[in-house]
Amino acid sequence: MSLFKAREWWGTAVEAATPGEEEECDAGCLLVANVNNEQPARDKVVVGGFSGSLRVFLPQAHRSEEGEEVSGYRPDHLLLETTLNYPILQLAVGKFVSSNSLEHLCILHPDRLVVCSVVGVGGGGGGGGQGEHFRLTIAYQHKLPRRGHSLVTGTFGGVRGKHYLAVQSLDGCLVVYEQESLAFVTFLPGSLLPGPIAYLPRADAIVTVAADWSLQCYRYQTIAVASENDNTTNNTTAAAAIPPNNNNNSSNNNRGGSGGRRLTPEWTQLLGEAAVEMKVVGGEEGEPVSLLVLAQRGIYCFKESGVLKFVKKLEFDPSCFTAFIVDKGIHICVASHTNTLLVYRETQLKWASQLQFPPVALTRADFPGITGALVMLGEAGQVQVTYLGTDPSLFVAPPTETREINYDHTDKELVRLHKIIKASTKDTGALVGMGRVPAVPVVLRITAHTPLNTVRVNVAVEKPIGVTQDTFVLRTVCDTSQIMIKFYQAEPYIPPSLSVTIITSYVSHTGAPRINTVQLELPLRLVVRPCTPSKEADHKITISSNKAAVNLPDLFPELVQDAGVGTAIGLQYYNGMEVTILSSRTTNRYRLQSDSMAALWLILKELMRRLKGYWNQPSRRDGEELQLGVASSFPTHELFFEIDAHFIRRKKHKELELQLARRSAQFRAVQRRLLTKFKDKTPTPLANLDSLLEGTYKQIHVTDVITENLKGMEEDGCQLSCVVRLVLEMTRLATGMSDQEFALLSAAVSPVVHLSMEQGWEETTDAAITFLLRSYSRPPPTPMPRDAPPTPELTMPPDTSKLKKHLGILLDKITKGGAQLSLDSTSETKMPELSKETVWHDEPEDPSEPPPPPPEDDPTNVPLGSRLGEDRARSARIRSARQGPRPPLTPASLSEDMPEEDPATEPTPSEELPDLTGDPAAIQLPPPTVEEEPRATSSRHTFTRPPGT
Amino acid sequence: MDPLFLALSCFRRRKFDRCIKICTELLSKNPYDQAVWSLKTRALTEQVWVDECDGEEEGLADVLMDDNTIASVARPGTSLRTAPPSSAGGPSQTFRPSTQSGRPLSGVVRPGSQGGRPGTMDQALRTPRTAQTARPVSATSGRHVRLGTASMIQVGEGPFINLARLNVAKYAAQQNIAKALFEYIYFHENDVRHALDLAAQATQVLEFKDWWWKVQLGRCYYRLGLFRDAEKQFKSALKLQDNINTYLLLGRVYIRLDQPMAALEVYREGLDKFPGEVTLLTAMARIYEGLHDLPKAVKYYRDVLHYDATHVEAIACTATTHFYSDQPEVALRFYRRLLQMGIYNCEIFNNLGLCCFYAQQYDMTLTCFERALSLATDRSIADVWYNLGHVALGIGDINLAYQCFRLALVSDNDHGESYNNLGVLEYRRGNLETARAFFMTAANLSPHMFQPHYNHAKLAHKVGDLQTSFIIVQKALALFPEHVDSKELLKTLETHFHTL
Repeated sequence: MSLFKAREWWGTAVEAATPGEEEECDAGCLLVANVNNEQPARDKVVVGGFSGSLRVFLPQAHRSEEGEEVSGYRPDHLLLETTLNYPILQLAVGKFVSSNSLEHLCILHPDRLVVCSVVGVGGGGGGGGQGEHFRLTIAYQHKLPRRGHSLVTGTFGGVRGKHYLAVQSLDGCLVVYEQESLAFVTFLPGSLLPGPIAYLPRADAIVTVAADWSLQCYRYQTIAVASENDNTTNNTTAAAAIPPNNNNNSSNNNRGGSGGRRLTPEWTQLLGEAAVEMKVVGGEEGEPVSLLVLAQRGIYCFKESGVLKFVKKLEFDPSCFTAFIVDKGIHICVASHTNTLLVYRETQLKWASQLQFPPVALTRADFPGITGALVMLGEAGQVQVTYLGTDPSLFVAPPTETREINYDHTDKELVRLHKIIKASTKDTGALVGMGRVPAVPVVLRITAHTPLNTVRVNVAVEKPIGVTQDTFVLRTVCDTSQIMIKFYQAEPYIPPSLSVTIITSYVSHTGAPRINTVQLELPLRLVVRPCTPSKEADHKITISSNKAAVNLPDLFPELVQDAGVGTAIGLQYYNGMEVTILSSRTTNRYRLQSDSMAALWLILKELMRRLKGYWNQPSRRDGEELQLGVASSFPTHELFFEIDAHFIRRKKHKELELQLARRSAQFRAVQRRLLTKFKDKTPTPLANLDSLLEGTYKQIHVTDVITENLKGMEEDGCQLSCVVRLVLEMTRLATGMSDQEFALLSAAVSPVVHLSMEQGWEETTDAAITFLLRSYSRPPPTPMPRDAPPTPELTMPPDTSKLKKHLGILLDKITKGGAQLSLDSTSETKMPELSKETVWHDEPEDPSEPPPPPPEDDPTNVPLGSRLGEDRARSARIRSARQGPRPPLTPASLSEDMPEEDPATEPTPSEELPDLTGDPAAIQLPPPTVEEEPRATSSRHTFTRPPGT
Repeated sequence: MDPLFLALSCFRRRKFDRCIKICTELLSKNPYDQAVWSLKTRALTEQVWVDECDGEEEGLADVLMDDNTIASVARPGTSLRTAPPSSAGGPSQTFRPSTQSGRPLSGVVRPGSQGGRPGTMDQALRTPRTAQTARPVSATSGRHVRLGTASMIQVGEGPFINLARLNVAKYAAQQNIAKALFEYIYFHENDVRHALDLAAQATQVLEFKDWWWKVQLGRCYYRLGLFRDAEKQFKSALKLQDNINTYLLLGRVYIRLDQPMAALEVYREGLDKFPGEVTLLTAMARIYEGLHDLPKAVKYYRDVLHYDATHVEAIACTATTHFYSDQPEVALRFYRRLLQMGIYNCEIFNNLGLCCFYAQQYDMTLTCFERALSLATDRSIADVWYNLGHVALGIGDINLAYQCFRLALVSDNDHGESYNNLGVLEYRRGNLETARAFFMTAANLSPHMFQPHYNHAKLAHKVGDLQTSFIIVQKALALFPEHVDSKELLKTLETHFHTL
C-alpha cells in the first residue's frame, strides 16, 4: 500500500547455468563492489546463483544519438559470465591475498571457499568501452571441513591492509582463515541452525544469532584463545575426519564444554524472534558503529556494546534490508514479501514505494549516471537498479463497463418498472387489467398480541372467482397488520360457490406452529346484477314455506331494480344468464326460474339464507321455525344432462390428448429420419420429408383445441357442480334430512368437481354411490366388513348410463323410499367435514336507505386518498362503536383474531349472533365503491371463527 | 547443494511448503536431527502465525459471563463498557452513528468493533446474528478453534509432534530448540496447556531470568483467561527488558479487565521507552475511540500518520472523523489517498461517493456508487443501497429513496437503519400503521439505535397514544440522553399528563 513506485533505472534477469531453468538466488548472491580494482572506482554488480553461474555487470547510463541520457540494460554491460562447478552461496570482496592489497572476489561454495581475482582484458583499459571483458583467475581455495552456510570478512584481530575470512558452517562451526592459511576452527555454543553473522570492526567482535533467538557477541580474541586450546586436541579431527554433514548437536555441545575453555560471549541480547539479516553501519570518521538486525517482526538497532538503540516493529514480513547513514541518521530500506519497499529514518517512515517483485537481497550503490541507486536481486535472478521516483504511481481503478445509455429507452423502462413496483409493493392488492368486472375489496386485519414473524396468509377461492393475490407472507406482525385483497369474477362461468377460505399459518413465539382458518362468503352482488324479471323460463323450482312470503325487495335490497314490484325480481349473471324470483303471497311459495339450471343454485342458496336470516330476527321470531319445502319435481334430467356434457368434454379431452401423442410421435419420427439424412455423408434427396415435417408441425396445433376444451371442461365442471349442489339441496328440502345425513350424501355425490385429477368426477361419484347403495341396502345389524368389496381401480367409464342409473336409484330411494342414510359409527366419525359451518345473520335494512351504487366500477385505481378515506371511516366506526349506537351507514366487518394463547385458552367460538363490537379485531369488507366516503352496504357479514381449527 | 541449506534458504524466502518437504525428507533419513526438526517446527509455525498483540474479538460468552471486570458499575469515562456518550466534544450521536455496542462508528472494521457489547443476556440473544455475521460464542472458541485446525494439515502421516508423548522437561532444558517448540505448540497445535507447561518449566530452568519465557507464560495465562497471572508475568518481564510486544500484551490484559485508563498508562510508558512506536499509538487511539474521546483519538491517529504516513487505519479513522464533523471535503482527500494507495473495494467507493455528495461534487457521486455497487459483496451491498437511499433523500427523490431502502432490506433482512428510514417515509405518506410496524422492527433489530424509538414515540404522540409515546420516548432517552427532540417530546408529554 503506497502511493509511489520504485522506478527501474536498469534491469536484467540472470539465467541459470543450464538453459531453460530458472535461476535461484538468495541473500548472499548479490554483491556490489569495485571488484576489478578499477581506477577511478566504479561499482560493479556481481550476481551469483545456486546453479553456479556468476555474472558481473556494470550498469550505466549512455547517451543516445539524440544526446539524451538513456538508461537500461545493454548487452555490453555484461562484463563477465561464467559457470562455476558448485552452487554459489555467498559472495564477498576484500583484500584476501597476502601478496598484494588489491580487492579480490571470494566465493563461498557448499564445501569450498574460492578467492579469485577479476581482471579486465581488452577494451580501453577497463574504461567500460567496447569489447571490454573480465577474466576470473583463482588465487587460492580452501576445502571446508564442514558444509558452509555463510561468510563474514573483516580485519579480524585488527590487522591492517588485509581482510580475513570466517565461514559459518551449517552446524554452527566457525572456520577462520587468515587469508591463505587456516587459522582455527571453533564451535559456537548454543548453535543449532546457523543464523546471520556479522563482524563489528571497532570492537573486533563477531556477532551471531544463537538458536535461542539471542544475539551473541564474541570477541575475536576470545574465540581465538578458546580455540587455541581446542585446536591442539581437535584441530585434526575437526578439519578432516568428521563427515561434513554431521549435525549432531549433542556432540557439538560436548566438545564446546569439554575441550578447553568454554567460549563465553562478550554480551548477549535476547531478540525473542528469529533474525533474518544483520548489517553493520558506521565506523568511519568516528561515527558510532551500529549493528542492525532485521528480525522476523521488527528491526533492532544495537550499539557496539550491545545496548539497544531503537526498535521498529514491522507489520509485514520483511525479506531483506539495507542500511546507510545520511546526515548522521541511520536510514533503513526494508523490502517486504508484499512487494513494498519502506525507507525509515530510524523509526520514522520516510518513504514507501511499490516494487515489482519481492527481492531477496538489497543494497545501495553508485553507478555512472545515478548515485544512491538501490540494487535488488529477485528470487529468480532478476537484477534491478531502481530509484525512488517521486512520480506517483496512482492506482487507477479499472474502468467500469460503459454502456451507451439510450435515455428514451431507459426512461420508458423505468416507467414500466415503476408501474410494476407500484403494483407489487402496495399490499393492498391492485387489480391488474380486469376490465369492467365488479370486485370486492376485503381488508384482512391480523392482530397479534406479541410480534410474530413470517406469518403466511393463503386465500383459497373456487374457480370462477379470482383473487388478486392468494399468498402473503408478512415478515413481522406487531399489533395489527392489514392486507387488502380483492375478489372478482375471473371467468364468465356461473360460480358454484361464493365461499372463501383464508388460512393463516404462523409460528407462535413459543415455537409452536399454528393455523387459523377463517371462512367468509362473498356478497352475491359480486356475480349478479339486477335486471327485469322475465315471465318464462325453461327451468323452474318452487320452494314452499310455512311463513308468509316476504316482499322480495326486503330480501334483496341491494339488487332491486324496480322497488314498486314486490313479487318479482330479476337477477342476471355477468355471462348473461338470467334468474327470476317470484313470490306468491297466497301460497307462501317462491319460484325461481331460469334458462339454465345451474344458474338457479346460487340464487336458491342465497334466497334460503336470506329467508332464514329474515325470520330469525328477534322482532319477527314467533316461536315457529322456518320450514322450507320443495314443491317442484326433481331436476334429475338436467342433472343427467350436465353429467353428459361434462363427460363428453372429458372424452374429447382424452381423444385430443391421444391425437397429440400420436402426432408428436410422428413428428419425432420425421425429425429422426431427417437427421439421419442430413448426417449422411452422401447427400440424398429429402423425399418430401421436409413438407411432411411442416405438415405434422401444423397438426400439432391441436394443442389450441385442447386448451379450449379444457376451458370448456372447466365451465362444464362449474355447471355440473352447481346442478349437483342444487339437487342435493333440493333433496334435503324435500326429505328434511338431518345435517349428518346430508353431509353423508354430499360426500358421496360430491359437489366438488376437480378438473385436473386423473380420476374424474364420474367414476369417483359412481364408486361412492355404489358403496352407499350397497351399505345402506344391507340390513343394519350386520356391520359391513371394511375390506370386503375390493374396489376396482377407478377408470373412466365408457358411458355414463351406469352412473345415471345408480344416481337415479339413490335419489329415488332417498326421496321416495325415505331411506335412512347412515354408515356404521366408525366410518361416520371419519367422514370429512366438507365445509365449515358459517353463521350468518342479516341486519335489518333501513328501507329508506338508498340502494348502493352498482358494483361495476373496478376500484383498481383507487387514489391513495380514497383509501385513506376508508381508513378514516373505519376509525370513525370504531369510535362510534365505543360510543354505543351505531350509525346505519357503516362498512361491514368481520373479525379474524390471532390469539397467542394456547389452543386450550382460545376463546370458544361464539354462539350465533356474535357481538360485532366485542370482537377485538375485524376483517373489513368495505363496500365496493369508488366514492371517497363509504355510502352503504348491502348487509353486514359477521363471522365467528370456525370451531376447532 | 546441501539440502539443509536449501531448506534454510526456502524458509528465509517464505517458501514454507518446499521447506517442510525438504525437512520431512531429511527427517525420514535421520529422525534424530534436531536442527532439521527445529526448522520444520518453525516453518509449520510461520504458516499459521498471527500477531496476537493486535485486536481480538471478544465473543458472546466472554462479554456476558465476564467476571474479570473490576468495577461492575464504573465511573463514566473509566470503562469501555458503560462509557456513555460524553459531551467532551466531537460530533454527537445524532450525526455520528454508533455501533451496536453504543460506541462511535470507527473508520475501520476491527475484530470487535462491530460486535455488540450487550448489557444483558436478553439483549445479547436478541442481537441479530445472521448467517453472515455468526460471531463466535467465545474468544477462546472462536478464532483459536479455527487456528487450531492447522494441526490437521498434517493428516497425511499423522501429527508431526505427538504432544501427549512429549517429554516437556527434557525440551525445556534445551534452550536452543525450546523456543521454536513453544511457538509450534502455541500457534500451530493451539494447545495452550502444553505450551504453558513448557514455558513454566523453561523459565524455571533459566532461574526466572529470561523475559521471553515470562511473556510467553503471560500469553498462555491470558489465553486461559487468567488475566491477573498474565499481568504479573508481563510486568515481571518488563522489569527485565522493555519490549514493545510486552507493552501491547499488558495493555490488552487491562482492556480485558475493562481498565482502559490503566491500559493507556501502560501504552504511555511504552511510548516513553519507544518513542513514536506506531502500534502503541494506534492502540491508544483505539482506546480513546472506545471512550468516546474522539478529539484525542484523532490526535493519536495524527501522530501515527506522522510516523507512518501509509497507515491505513489512521487515514481511514481520520477521514471518518472529518466526515462526521461536517468536513466532507477534507474526508474526501483522505479517502482519495487511500484509493490512490491501491485500496480498491466497495467500502472506499461508498465513502468516496458519500463525501462527494456532501461536498457537493454531484458529478462524481453516482459514479462512485456505481463502482461501489459493482464491487459490493453480499455483506456490504445493503449498506451501499442504504447510503444511496440517503443520497436520494438528499435530492428529494422519495420514490428512489424508498426503493433503495427496500433493496437494502432485500440484501440484508436485518438492516435496522433501513427499516427506520422506511418507517419515516411511510409516516410521511400517511401510512401510520405501516410506519409503526417499521419502527418497531427497526427497534427490535438494532437495539443500539435511538432513532426508531424516537420516531415511534413521535408517531404515537401524533395519533394520540400518549401512554405509548411516553414509554417509548424514555427508551430513546436511555440510549441517547442528550437527544434534544426526545427531551422536548418527553416534556410535552409530562406537561400534558400534569394537566390531566
